[in-house]
Amino acid sequence: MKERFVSIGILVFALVYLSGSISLKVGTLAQPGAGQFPAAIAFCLLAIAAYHAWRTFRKTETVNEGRSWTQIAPAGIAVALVVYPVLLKTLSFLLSTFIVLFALFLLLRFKTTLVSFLTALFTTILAFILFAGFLGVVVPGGVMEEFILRIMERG
Amino acid sequence: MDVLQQLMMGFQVAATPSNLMWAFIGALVGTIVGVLPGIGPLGSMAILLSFTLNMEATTAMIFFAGIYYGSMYGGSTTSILLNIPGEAASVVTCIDGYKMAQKGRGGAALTISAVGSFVAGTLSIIGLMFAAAVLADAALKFGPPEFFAIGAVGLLFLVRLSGGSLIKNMIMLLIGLALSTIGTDRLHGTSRFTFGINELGQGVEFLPVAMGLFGIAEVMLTAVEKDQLGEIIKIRMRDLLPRLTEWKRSIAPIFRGSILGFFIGLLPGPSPVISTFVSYMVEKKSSKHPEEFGEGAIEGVAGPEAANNAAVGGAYVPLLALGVPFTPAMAVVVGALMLHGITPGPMLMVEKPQLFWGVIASMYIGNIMLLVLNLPLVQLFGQITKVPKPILLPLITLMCLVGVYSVNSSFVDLYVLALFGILGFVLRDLGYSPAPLVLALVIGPMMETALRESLMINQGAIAPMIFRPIAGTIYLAAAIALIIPPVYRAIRRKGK
Repeated sequence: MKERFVSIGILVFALVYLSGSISLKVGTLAQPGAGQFPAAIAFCLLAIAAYHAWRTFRKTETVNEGRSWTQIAPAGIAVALVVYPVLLKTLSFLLSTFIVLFALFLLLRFKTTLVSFLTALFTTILAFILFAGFLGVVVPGGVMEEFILRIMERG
Repeated sequence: MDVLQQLMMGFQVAATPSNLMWAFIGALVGTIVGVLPGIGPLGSMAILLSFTLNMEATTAMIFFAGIYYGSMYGGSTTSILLNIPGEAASVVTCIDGYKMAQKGRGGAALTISAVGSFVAGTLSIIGLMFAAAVLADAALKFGPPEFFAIGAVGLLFLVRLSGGSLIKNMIMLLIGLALSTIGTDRLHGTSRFTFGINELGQGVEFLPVAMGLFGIAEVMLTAVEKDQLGEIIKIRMRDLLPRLTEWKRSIAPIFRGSILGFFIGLLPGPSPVISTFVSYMVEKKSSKHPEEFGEGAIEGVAGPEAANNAAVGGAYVPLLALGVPFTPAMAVVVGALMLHGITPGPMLMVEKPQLFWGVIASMYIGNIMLLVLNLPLVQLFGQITKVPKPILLPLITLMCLVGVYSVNSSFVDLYVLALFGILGFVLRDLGYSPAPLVLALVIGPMMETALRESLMINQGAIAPMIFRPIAGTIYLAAAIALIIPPVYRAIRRKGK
């Protein structure tokens, strides 16, 4: 079932990509346009994706389809990945990173809630010091970030 | 003489305190990464790419070379002591290494493995030095048709050698090429597939894609796997000394493995992994005691461990000489070079001799560091495997998130990371290899430009592009290499 789902996804991607590349200027062989290389790729991808989908749907025997995608751990990590940029945009670096890290520790059942809380807090501050303090990365900041950077400057 | 002079200059570059420190850190990180099952050298290099932003390009390359070599060293430790390969290139070492450890010869297996890796690493660096110099000289005569031929043939080999399903590898390759066309067209300035997102004008960034497919996907896959760690077999310092017979039996396999590994390393694909399997088969066939293989034969450790280290040196040849990465790890190295505004290619040796020879010299130093680091600390490295997943996985995720953001301070990069992390998990779970996609994403723009320039030069005629002396030879060699094995197999099957 998962194989079929993915093969259809690839086929749809190939179709969308093909329509996008044809809408660009394809040109001639002597004067290739911006769409020529993408169109060539798209045709090959469409042909192979169609063949792959056909093969996947023809298979009747049950095959080993890997791990479950709906397990709580990978699903939680996926949510954390999508939520992090949103949090980072709206909150500051320390707060957003702490929330995501704490959630991941809880999700993967790292010791007690208190230990997870403290580890997430400590790691977040350490990550900020490392990236913003030492590597000079500009991260969305607030009062807490200013405070830590000031302490580092004085130190 | 010229090569020796250049190498001396390289040693001057590599021996600065800062470069020595980063070579050591790289070797240490690489060893740890090699020991830890799951996160391979590629994932760690991708994760640490952002750390190299504030380094000089040469230092960054030295750091990465240390990681790559270190991971090959580290991988053998858990294979021998725990029967768990730290990374794919150490799978073969489990067969005889763990058996030796069970018989109380684990220390000898570790020493032979470390010495074999050191000898192979050193020999492959010598090979790299000369082969890269010769190839880079030849590459100065290359035109667009030759570069297209190298890219196309390299990707075809990768699809063939990556293992798993050929169709799935082909699909991943074409998706990678499709993604490489996103952004502003280099020749006409037309916007392609950007959907009005300004950040996509420069194309899809390599870093979030690689980190997503290798780092995040690995985290998600590891999260669903059950821990199956056994007890680490204890090794005392005096156990580390092999017997005279073990040394004697290891010398020839180490040299054979080194030569095999270096040449297999020149090929596109997971060369360190392939080299270990080939070396193991060669040793078993040429051994006077083939019955001992699988029961704790020292040759089964010495040969493959030498081969996987030599393959690393070989993999650097096409990158440093032609600017074409043939393995995903080398694609990360290209990413690091590009972050520093350097495009690898035949001119790298001429324009940036400090970088080229500095990296090569650092490999010698790194190999000595690894030898000194690995043997006394072997028990400690074995203990690293006991770091619990619930602490390791969130930390790796954090490194990926902050690492990707730190390069361009871009939120789009974070979404790309999330997208490819989730896609990587789904696709890798179903047996789609991410390597062809990543390499196609890196090589794609070079191939497209070379193809279009070739077509324009030849007024749209395809034949003159193929039937040129160098390009024609590349296509012919590739055709022979790709066609002969299946034909040979078919003939043998018919004969039976």
